[in-house]
Order: sequence, then C-alpha cells, then structure tokens
Amino acid sequence: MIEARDLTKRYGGRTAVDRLTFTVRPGRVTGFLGPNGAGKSTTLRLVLGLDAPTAGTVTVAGRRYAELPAPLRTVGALLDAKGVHGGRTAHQHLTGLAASNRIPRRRVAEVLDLTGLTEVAGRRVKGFSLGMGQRLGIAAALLGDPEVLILDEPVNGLDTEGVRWIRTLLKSLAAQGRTVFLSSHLMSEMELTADHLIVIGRGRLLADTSVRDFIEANSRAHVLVRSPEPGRLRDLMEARGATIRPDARGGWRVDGLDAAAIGDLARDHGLAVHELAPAHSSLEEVYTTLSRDSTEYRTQQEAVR
Amino acid sequence: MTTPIATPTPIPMQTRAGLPQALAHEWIKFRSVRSLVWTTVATAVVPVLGAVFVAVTGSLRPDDTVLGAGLTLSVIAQLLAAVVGALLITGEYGSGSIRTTFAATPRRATVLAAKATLLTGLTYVLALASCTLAYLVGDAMLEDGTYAQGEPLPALFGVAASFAVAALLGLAVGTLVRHSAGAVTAVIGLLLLPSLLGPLFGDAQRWVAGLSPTAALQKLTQTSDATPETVGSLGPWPSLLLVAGCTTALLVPAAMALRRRDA
Repeated sequence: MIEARDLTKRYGGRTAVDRLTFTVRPGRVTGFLGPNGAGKSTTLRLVLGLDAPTAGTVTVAGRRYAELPAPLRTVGALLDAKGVHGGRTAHQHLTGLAASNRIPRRRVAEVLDLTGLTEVAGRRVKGFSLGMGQRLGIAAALLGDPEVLILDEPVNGLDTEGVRWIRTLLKSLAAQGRTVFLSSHLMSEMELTADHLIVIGRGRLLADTSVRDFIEANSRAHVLVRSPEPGRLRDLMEARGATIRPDARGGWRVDGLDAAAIGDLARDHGLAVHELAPAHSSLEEVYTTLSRDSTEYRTQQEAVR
Repeated sequence: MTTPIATPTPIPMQTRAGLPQALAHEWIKFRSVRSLVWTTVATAVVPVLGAVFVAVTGSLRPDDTVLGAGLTLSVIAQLLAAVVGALLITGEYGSGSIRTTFAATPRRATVLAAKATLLTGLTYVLALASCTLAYLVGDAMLEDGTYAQGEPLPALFGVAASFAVAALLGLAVGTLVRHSAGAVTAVIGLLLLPSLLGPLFGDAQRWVAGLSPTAALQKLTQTSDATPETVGSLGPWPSLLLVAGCTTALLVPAAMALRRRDA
C-alpha cells in the first residue's frame, strides 16, 4: 500500500507535483501515467524519501520510507538503470545491498537466477546493455522479497522477450498480493499489464481509475467502415448526421451512427460493405489526446463525472 | 514461470538495518571500485618509497631526524588519503548510486557515519603500518649516528591519526561539493593553501598554516621544515587536536547538508 496525501513538491517557483492524493493498493498492478515532465519520477522519488516534499505526506506500508526499519525488505524500487557504479560487478552490487538490510547472501544468487543474470554476475556493470541494466535493477528491487514494488519505466531497453517476461513477472507479483506500482510512457504496455491507472499531468491528478473504466470514460465509440462504393455510402451516412474522417488504416472512422444503423443503411440502398467494425479509441489515443493539454482534459473529465 | 519470486530463502522480519549493516555495505562498495582501492594502496606505498628515495640519495639536512627523513613523502600520502575520503562519496554522486545507497539506508546520517567509520579505520591502520615501515626502512638504510633518531613513539600513532583526519576532511568536503573534480581540488587546496598562503599573513602565518592537517603531520614527523615560524608553535599533539576539531566542525554542516538536500 502506498498512500499519498496532498503531496506537493516545488523546485524554486516551479511546481513539479501539485497536491497529489492517491492510494496504490495491493493485489493488482497499478500503472502511473503522465507525459514527460508530468512529475512521475519526482513523485516516485518523494515516495522513496530521496526528495523531501514541500508539503503533504506519503507513506509506504503505513510508514514514511525513512522510518522503515529495513526498507529493502518492505519496498523494492527500480528508479533508473543508472543506480550502480559502473566499475562494480552485478554480484558485488547485490551483495552490498543485501548486507545493508541484513538480507541473507543466498538471496543474491536467487535474484540473479530469477532475472537471468547468473552468467554475467561477475562482469562489470559498465559493460551491460540497457536491458541487462534493467534486469539488474529489477534483481535489486526483488532482493528483499518486498511487499511493495515501485518501478520507473521497467520495460525501457528490454527486448520483446524481456518485455513479456516482466509483464508476467509483475502480474504474478500482484497476484501474490503484493503492491506493484509502475510508471511507463508506453500506453500499449500499460493496457496489457496494468489493472488500475493513476494518471497525472503537470503534477496534478487527472484520473485514478481502472484501465477499463479509463478507456470507456475517455474514448468515444466509433465504427470503422470500408466499402467499395465509398462516395455514396458517405453521403448517406452524413445525411443522417454522422461525422466521418478517413482512418489511417484505410476506410473511414464514423462517429454518430452505430454499426447496426450503418449496416441497415447500406443494405437498404444495395451498397456493399467490406468491413464494419465497432471500435473504441485505444489507450494510446486517449492518452495522446489527454496529454496534449491536461487542463482541457480536466474539464472534460469533470463533465463526464 | 508460475512463482517468479519464489523465496526458498526465508527472510526473517523484525530486523533493523543500522550502522553495522551500513558499514558492511560501505566496505563492499569500497572494495569494488578500482579507483578507490588503488588510491588507497598508493596512500600506503608512497611513504615507504619516499623513505627509500631519501636514504638512497642522502637528501637530508644535517639537522634532520631519521624519523623525519623516513616520512618525507608522508605529506603526499596524506593528500591521497584526503582524496580517498572525497571520492568515497563523490563517486556515488557521479554514478547515481547515491540514490541506491539512500534507498537502502534512508537515515543519511547513518550513511555518513558508516563512511566516516570505514575511512577512519582504513586510513589509520594503513598509515600506521606504512609510516612505521617507512621509518624502519629509513633507519636501516641511513648510516647510524649521522642523524638524530627522532622519537618514533608515540609520534607514529599521531601520524596515522593525521591521515584519518585528512581523509575525514576529504569526506566532509566531498559531501558538501558532490562533484569529484571539484571536491578533490577543494580538499587539496584546503590541505596545501594554508602553508602556501601563510607568508602573506605576516605574523599570522603560523596560525593560518597551523590549521592544515599537513601542519600537524609535519610536527609529528619532527621534520626540520616544521619550524614554529611557519606552522605555529603548538606542540604536535595539540596541533593534531586542533585540526581534528576543524574537521569535525566541517563534518557537522556536511551531515546537515546531506540530510537536507534532495538526492
């Protein structure tokens, strides 16, 4: 459980995080979304006590991070792959962290094995690829068998296999009742991995909802239409008040008429239809619209509620 | 992959990560960074090399002591100890691993205390061994009876302590400055500038120059360079206390800055 209450961070005159209040619950994967500069990383640093909040509080497992008796056993964090001195080996890095929180040494071999780094454990970290660096960061996060996991852009630099691996891993960690909180700019990835979303823009909370509700509340339904006689069908649909835009994949995106109405219309006029697909905007599209102007989104959100 | 985090090794709860754990972490981190290890090795080797050099070339003045001659290069070695102290923390800022360290040990005063304990122990033991060896080498190689012997005991313990003081000064400066190059420049400046700039202060020279750990070291080695006019008339031990006090005075704001600043 991570609880932020009116969390605020100002750097000079700039407000990076603005009265954020949210709760990240155990047993599910919670995605943390926001465009670059929205304050995601700052928020995560505040959670870990690396930066001090200007106002407000944030607790992990019921305590401020600095008050956790052995923090790595409660919270595992991956902030960036660059949290290791390049001259150190993966094994040395993890052994040091284990020593700092009285985690048994055997655990080091276990997390190396778990992240597939056993073979390269004796190599200096500066020779690691971005993907290997991420795996090492995840190994460090899992070292203390923590109940809370906080991961900043964990799929960054991972190949397809690695992305699939981490998706499975995060879901199973959540299924074990752990709290999993991850930030990502890859919306498509969030759609596949996260159960719940916390969305911020310009440091403010924009949404705190399930992935499904988020898409349903924010994406308008439309119908994809493809026809060999596009001109006539288009005129007919427009005559019934539909808004029609060309779709990037070919065919049209029709708003204002449902698939049944379009199908009937085509039949009544003897027009062939090759494709007729009801669709929702993907999370990616919703998010792009949202992040273009978070203030505009805000008013839209309030109207929906 | 059904249970990816399967934990064959049970982790007992209700344990607290305190200073001993932070110290163990610091020791592992120290050993795994080459630049730190080699600078530390150099700190230990330089005094012995200096003793051999002086004895072979016979570059002593008639009023020099065997102890002073044996420890000719100890000032250089002390500078290196200060550099180790600075790098011990600036290296972490440079690599970004300071955030990993603070995540593991969020009580930052504990982190600083662990670093200080490691530095003190390491530099004291190494400097004691190295400077004792340097004295013995000088003693063995220099002709008997030509030079006054000097009093190696208890002076050598003080010499070793002055290394620890210099290393802690480096740590304090490194904590405040955070950048390796800046911190190394600053701490070398702090060690050398008092004696370089001292003459500008006229009669106050001995007060200015006496503030540097190098002054305490020179007095302890009983070298002929350490005249009361240049480094002050304080005895070697009060001088050591003075520089230790100055270092402590700098460690306090360093600890406060470490706690206050965002990582």
